[in-house]
This record gives sequence, structure tokens and C-alpha cells, in this order.
Amino acid sequence: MKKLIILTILFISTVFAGAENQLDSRRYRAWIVEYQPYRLLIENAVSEYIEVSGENLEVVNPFDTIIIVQTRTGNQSMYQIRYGSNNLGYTIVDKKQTTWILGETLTETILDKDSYYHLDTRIPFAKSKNRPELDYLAENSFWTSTDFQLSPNRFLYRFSNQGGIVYEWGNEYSGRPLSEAGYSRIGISTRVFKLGFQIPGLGIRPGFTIDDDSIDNNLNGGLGAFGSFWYNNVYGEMSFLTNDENTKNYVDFSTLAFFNFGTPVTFIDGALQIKIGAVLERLIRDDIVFAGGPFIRMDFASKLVDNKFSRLVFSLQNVGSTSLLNSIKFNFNESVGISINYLHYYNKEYKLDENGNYKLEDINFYPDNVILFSFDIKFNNPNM
Amino acid sequence: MKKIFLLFITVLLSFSFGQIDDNGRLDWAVRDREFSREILRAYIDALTEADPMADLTIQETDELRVTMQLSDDNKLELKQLMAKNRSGQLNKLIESVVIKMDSELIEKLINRQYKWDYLSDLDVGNYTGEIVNVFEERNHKQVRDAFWWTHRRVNMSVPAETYVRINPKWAFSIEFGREDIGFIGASSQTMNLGLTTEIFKSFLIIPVGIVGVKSEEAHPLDGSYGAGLKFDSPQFGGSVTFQDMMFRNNQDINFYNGKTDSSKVVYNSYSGSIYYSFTSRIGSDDKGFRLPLGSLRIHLGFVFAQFHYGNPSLESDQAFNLKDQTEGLSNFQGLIRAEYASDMNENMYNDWKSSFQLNLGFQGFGNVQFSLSKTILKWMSFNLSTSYFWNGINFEDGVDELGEPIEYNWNPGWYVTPSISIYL
Repeated sequence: MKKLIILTILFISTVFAGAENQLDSRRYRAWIVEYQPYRLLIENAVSEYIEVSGENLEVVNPFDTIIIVQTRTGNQSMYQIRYGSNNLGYTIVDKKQTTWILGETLTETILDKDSYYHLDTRIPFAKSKNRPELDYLAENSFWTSTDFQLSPNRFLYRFSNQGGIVYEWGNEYSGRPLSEAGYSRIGISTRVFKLGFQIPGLGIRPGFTIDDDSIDNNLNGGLGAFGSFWYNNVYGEMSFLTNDENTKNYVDFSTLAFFNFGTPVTFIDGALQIKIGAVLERLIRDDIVFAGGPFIRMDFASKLVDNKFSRLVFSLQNVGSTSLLNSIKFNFNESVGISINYLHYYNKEYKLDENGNYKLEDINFYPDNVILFSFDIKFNNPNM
Repeated sequence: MKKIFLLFITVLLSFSFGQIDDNGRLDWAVRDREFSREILRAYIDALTEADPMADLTIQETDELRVTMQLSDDNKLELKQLMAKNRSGQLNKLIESVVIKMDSELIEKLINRQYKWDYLSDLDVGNYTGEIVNVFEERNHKQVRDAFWWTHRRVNMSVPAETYVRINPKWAFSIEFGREDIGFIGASSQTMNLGLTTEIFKSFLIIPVGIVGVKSEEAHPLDGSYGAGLKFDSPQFGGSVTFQDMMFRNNQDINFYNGKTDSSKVVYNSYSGSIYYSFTSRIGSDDKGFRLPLGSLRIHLGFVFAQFHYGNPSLESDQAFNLKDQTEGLSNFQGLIRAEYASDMNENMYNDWKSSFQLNLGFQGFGNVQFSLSKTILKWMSFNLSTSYFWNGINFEDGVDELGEPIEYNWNPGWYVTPSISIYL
């Protein structure tokens, strides 16, 4: 019995050990179990194992990421199970224990990954020892780590690990946050894609223009659809809007793609994420015009507090001919945060010239400088 | 309906398969042969010590089974041990003998830190009706994949679609038609050319048509250049597409008109769809005329599809003269789709595949499509897809000499598109 306790302590002590848990991707493959029935079976199996063996192992929480690691060589057996989250760390169950926990049939079933919904992952192969701030940024860029999020630019209710209902006001990545896009989006969000319909946005600006004499126009909304994905650090989206023939000044087609790079920052505790890509928007004015261009965005997140949230998130984004966006977000705690956005419009669009070529020309439609306010409330459903 | 409900209930029930059940009972079989023998040897020794004349129905080579039970204070306790002999007969280990065995050995048995496996409900005598084994539910992905891309390296279907798996994560794909909005195969003069992953497809829409049998007055959906995204997960999916005859303001009219009269062009300018889906087991592996054991996936959702009608002026100003477009409710359709695929065999193909789809326009326009695929050789299948459109859409087509409005009734007609698929 003493031997068992010592072995257990040794095992637990390796759980959050860090870099030594990094695996060689040439020797192993890893994926996240997304299929709900199998997640439940694994959750049950771990609870059951804790019950019968008396081992001091963490239980699998409903929203934990469950990663299966399989050897590429030999009999391609299960090498590890990891469960937990990027922020709080993973419990690692080693090869021997996987068979004790899952049993033969469940092990074989889980290893047959092509027969159920899963997502490939590189988490076990990540080189950096500890990158919770990067994971915090990545998690909150597209999906969410909480069950419920309420903010002017995004409302998200996560009804399971598989998906949630999302409402987004504006399109920050195309340089038109909140009221500035004229439209909002409602649909389904999953860990890797969002999909739904575009509808008119709220007709109020949650802020003000800085220059008193500047023009204060807003784009119109319409009816349409959108789709976006975040896959292996590649983001892409496409959307459209339709209107009656008399309605002008709206983005009728938009597409955006970028690559995401992240690095921990050593001189200040935190992490920096850089996104580089391109935006293309077609707008219906009196004529058809285009906007957009190269896209670059930098997000900095300060060191996580209690491994849960960043106190300060700073973003700087430039979208070609459209706008420069600068935002600072301050989180009071894990659940409540406020942000201030400064938006500078370039007031330039690509118009057709007499020779039939598109040229970048000055326009006089948007205010030069806008300040927008926002808040963010997040919490978990205690019943889930 | 009753069957679907029953399957739904059984899937829910199956979550508890093999694990602690509602009565607090947990069963497993010891798969570690050495350990199983050690236990059974100790039991036989204890039995013969207590009663040298005891009838030894239990052998060391039997399969040992453990049953635990949740006690009133919510702790798992050993309820019984059983031994299954080679003829499948179950014999209970006598409790009074088990108590006399080495307690450390029994504790080790209960701790389950050895090779073991779950037992099905039927195997332990808890017959609970038509229970679908949750481990068979994984086949839902087979039917998903069968219609999403391919499990093979290459699936080249002439002329309907082609998938080439570049690596496990990415595939190059060519798909003719606009199945998402109800225009399968030859009923749309478009080709989707792009990349496919497990979760999404991104593609360019190219105006190209394929040959098929069609009704005499058929006017397929015309093609233009565009782009699209499609998404699919076990529960949710959908698509977004965009096409434009004049993407750069009348500078690039490109289209493929499926009708000889190029003065009447109808194309899909925008579309978006969203659906919820669920999958159930269906069929049986009994001999005789029956639906082979497989999976049935149902999609329920909505489609938004706007159609533009006009005529191109190719000779003068290179303009597409937009005459009319669908608006409001006429852009919306209800979507019902069923996909069936028989279980994949050892050669990684589905013997039978079939789909049925209804697009029900909110203002009368709609279509039904059906497809069937049968693998006839290990590397080849024969496919047939059909579609039929009803009602059509009335577009304003200018005015006549008397100033009366003229309408063009666009009715795509019906189509039959046979194809051959080759797997590599």
C-alpha cells in the first residue's frame, strides 16, 4: 500500500512538470476528443477509476480539453491521456494507467480516431514550457473559456463543449468594430467555426467622435450570412449583405484571412500575438467601391492573474485603407472588464477611374476619429 | 417517428453502457490472464481447503468477472465474482470462500489496476431492450465523411466530384453543382474548386457545366465566378457563398449559360445556410433483402439564396443588365436532408450510399433531390443523382410594346446525372 502511495505521489508530481512533458511529434500523434458520448465515457471512466482505486487523480470537468496521444511506431498504442485546460494545466495519465482507466474496448474505440469527431492538436508538442497568456489570447479571440459572455461586441452562450449561440455587433477584424460596420451577426459558434446570418446592427454609437466638425456617417446594415473559421492558427471569414436597390452605403461582400503567430514576452511578463493577413470589402455606394488591404494586428496580454485572466489586454490593428484601431481592455477580475477603443478612419476607398482601373481615392464619409466604449462580463454556469 | 424517438432514447441510454449503471452496479472482466489465474487459483485453493470434496466447476483458465455495487453511503463494494468457462457458462464464486481469500489480493482485484474490459448490459443479464451500443454510434462519422470527403487517398467521380487527400488534414476537392442550395450535379453550371479539411471547405466557384440528362425546357442555374465556405461538425453546419457577374463593376462579365438563349441568365448571387444534424444507426446485418447496417444522418435547417436575373450585353458595354432579383421571403428555404451510408468495410469504402434532400422555398419554389451510390468493385462505384424543381420563380422581364410588364418564369426542370467513382 505504501508503495502505491509513493507511486501516486510521484505520478501527481509529474503532472504539471512542464517542458519535460513536451513530446516529439515525429513519434506521437495527438488529437482532442470532441464527440460528446466519448467525452462522457472518458469522464465516467476516470471517475470510476478514482472510485475503485482510491487514487488521488483529478476528475475530468465537463469543459476540459481531452487529448489522446498515440504512438506512431510499433503497435500504435495509446501513450497518454491529457485533460484540463491551457490556462490551468493538464493532468497527464501515462500509458500504463490509460489501460487501467479505460479498459480494452474503450481504449480501442478512442484510438480509432477517424471514426468519431475529433480535432488534431499540437498542444503536447508545444516547445514553450508555459504559455498561458498566449492561450488566453487565442482562446478569447474566437471561442471562449467560459459558459457565458456578454459584451457589446459579442454575446456568447456556450451550451456544450461542441458549440454555442453567438451574437456579434460589428466586425473588429475588418476595422469596423461595434456600430461602425452597420451590421451584426447571429449564429452558431464552435471551437473552430462560426456560422450564421447577418442582420442590421444597433443604430447607436457607444461612444463619440473626437472632432466636432467631422462628418458623422454610419454604414447601413442589411440581410445576409457569414462564416468564419479558426484552424491551425489560420483565420478566414466570408460574409455578404443584401438590400433593396435604393439602399446605399453598406458592405455587401467581405472576406478576410490571416495567420496568427504568438510569442511569450520576456521583458514584461505577458505574451504578444501577431496576426498578418488581408481584408477585402466591396461597398455599395452610388457606384461599387472597394476597401481593405493588408491586415496587421498585435495583441498583448499581461501576465495571468491566478492563471485565469489578464489584467490588461492591449491591441493595435491596421486594416489597409480602412482604419487604425487601438484598444485597451482592463479586467477587474475574471468576470468583469471594460475597454476603450480609439478608431481612426483613413477615409480612402478604391474607386474606378476613367481608364477603367481602380485607384485609391479620398472620400468624405467617415469621422476622422472615434472613441468607443465597451465592457465584458463572463461567467460560468454553476449547473454545468 | 416512433423509430427515431426510440433510437434517440436508446442513444441516451447507451451513455451508461458498461459503466456504473442507474442501480449503482459496475461490471468488468479481468483481461490480465496472469492475474486472473492467480485469483482463481487462490479461490480454488481456498475452496478445496474448506471442502476437499468440493465440485470444481471453476477452472484457473476461466474468464474472471467482477461486479461492484454502490453502497448506501455511496461507496463501491464488491458484490460478486463470476467465472465464465469456455462454453460460456457463468459460475458464481462462493462468497464465504472469497472472504477467506487473501484480502490484499481481493483489494488488488477491486482496485482494477490491470488489464480489464467492460461488459455489455446483455452480457451481464440486464436486458434493457433495444439498446444501441454506444461504441457503434461512432459510425456517425462514417456517414458524415462519406458525403463530406473520402476515407480513401483519392476518390475521383466522373463527372460529379473529386477528392484527393494531400495529407490526413487537407484534401484538394472539385465538386460540381450547388448541393447546399438544392442544385445538385447538372442542375447548376458551377464547379467548386478548393481545399477541404475535417471541419470546413474553402473554394472558388468556377462557371463550368457538366453533361446530364435533363428535361426539354430545362434552364439550369447559370454560373459565374465566386467563392464560398462550407462547415460541418456532428451537430452543426452550413455554408456561405458569393457569386457576381460584375464583381469589378461591369469589368469582368464571366458566366456559363446553361441555356442556349443567353439573353436570359439566372445565377445565385449570395447564399447562406445553417443546419442542425443528428445521426442514428439503421439497417441490420441479417441475410436477405434488407437495408445493410449503416448510419442515417438527418439535417434540418434554413437556406438563404438570392437569385439574380438579367442578360449580359457582351458586345457593347460589357455589362450585365440586372432586370430583377428575388427579395424578402422568396430568398428563404427550409432544408431537410437525409444521408445514409452502409458501414465501411475492410477496404475503407461504403458499399451503399444514398441521400435525399428537400429544399422548400417559403414562397412556392422548391426542389427534391435524390442520389444513390453502389460500390461495384473494390475500386469503383456507380452513382446516380436526380433532381426535380417545381413552381419556378417569376422574374420581371421588362415591358412589351403596349407597356405591359413581361415576366420570365424560370423553371430549372429536372435532371438525371449518372457518374462513375474510382477509389485509390
